[in-house]
Amino acid sequence: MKKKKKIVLIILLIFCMAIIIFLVGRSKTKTLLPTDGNAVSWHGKQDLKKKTTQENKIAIPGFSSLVFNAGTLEQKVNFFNPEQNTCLFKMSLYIDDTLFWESGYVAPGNGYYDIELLDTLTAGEYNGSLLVRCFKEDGSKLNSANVEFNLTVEDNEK
Amino acid sequence: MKKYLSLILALVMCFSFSTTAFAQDQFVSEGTAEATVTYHADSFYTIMIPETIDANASMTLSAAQMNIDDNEIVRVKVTNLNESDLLQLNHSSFGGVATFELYRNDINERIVNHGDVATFISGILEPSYGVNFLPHDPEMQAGNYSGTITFSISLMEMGN
Repeated sequence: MKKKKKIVLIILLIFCMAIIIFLVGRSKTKTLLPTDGNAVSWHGKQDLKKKTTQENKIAIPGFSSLVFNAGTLEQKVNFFNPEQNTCLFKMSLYIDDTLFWESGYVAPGNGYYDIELLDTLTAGEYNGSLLVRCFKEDGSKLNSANVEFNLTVEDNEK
Repeated sequence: MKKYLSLILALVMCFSFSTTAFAQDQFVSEGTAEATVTYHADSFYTIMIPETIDANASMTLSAAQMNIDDNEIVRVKVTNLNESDLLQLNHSSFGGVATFELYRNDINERIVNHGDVATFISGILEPSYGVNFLPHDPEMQAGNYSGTITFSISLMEMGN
């Protein structure tokens, strides 16, 4: 009887040891999953390159100075929309921040040699600026430019 | 006799019509004289601006012509930034806005107080830097935004 008990106890012990070895083995394979050494510590999103669109350009002619005649509305200028452009120009002439002349919509390759001011000027030095607003033919607004220059108004006798 | 007299009178008349052109009032008793001739050729240039701005990419302006004096510089600024020096673009549908800071892409310095977005000197058609757009609020509403820029272009003497 004693011998039988001993055998049962040994079998039970072997069974328990097998279970322990199985469980320990399983838990070890779980913790040993490899982590990627290339991954870095995360500290917020970075700026990523985004899809860009084809950029068309507008040619804006610039000049440094202009001379007008005093006391007359008719003046000589070279205001034009360069032929290489694909957009329309709407030009506005400001003298000391006051509007003195405005064009219609000017197609590429067209411009003005003669303009008529809204008011006459007296002789002197002024700050001039030509605001060039650009539009597609369907009316969509494009970027604009303001060309600044020195305006000299001289008496006609000169 | 009458013939000779009329010939002499005709010659006298011809000489009396001739006038002397003075380049500058200068008395010369004998030998040669020099006059200074001057001419000023006005500066002219053509700046190429983008039709629209893609704020996802850098903006680089260029010039097609830059015939200016050696002591002159063409400066380009953006005039329609708001009081915080931010460019405002409008969302295409929901009515919201997105604002962007402008940075020089060569030194990564923010452009404020009407700073230049490009400068050009005589004969140089490409500026030394471009402009990057950085969203002021990175968590902006998804979608398309658009707006326009007004560039101010002026020719001035260097140092001004």
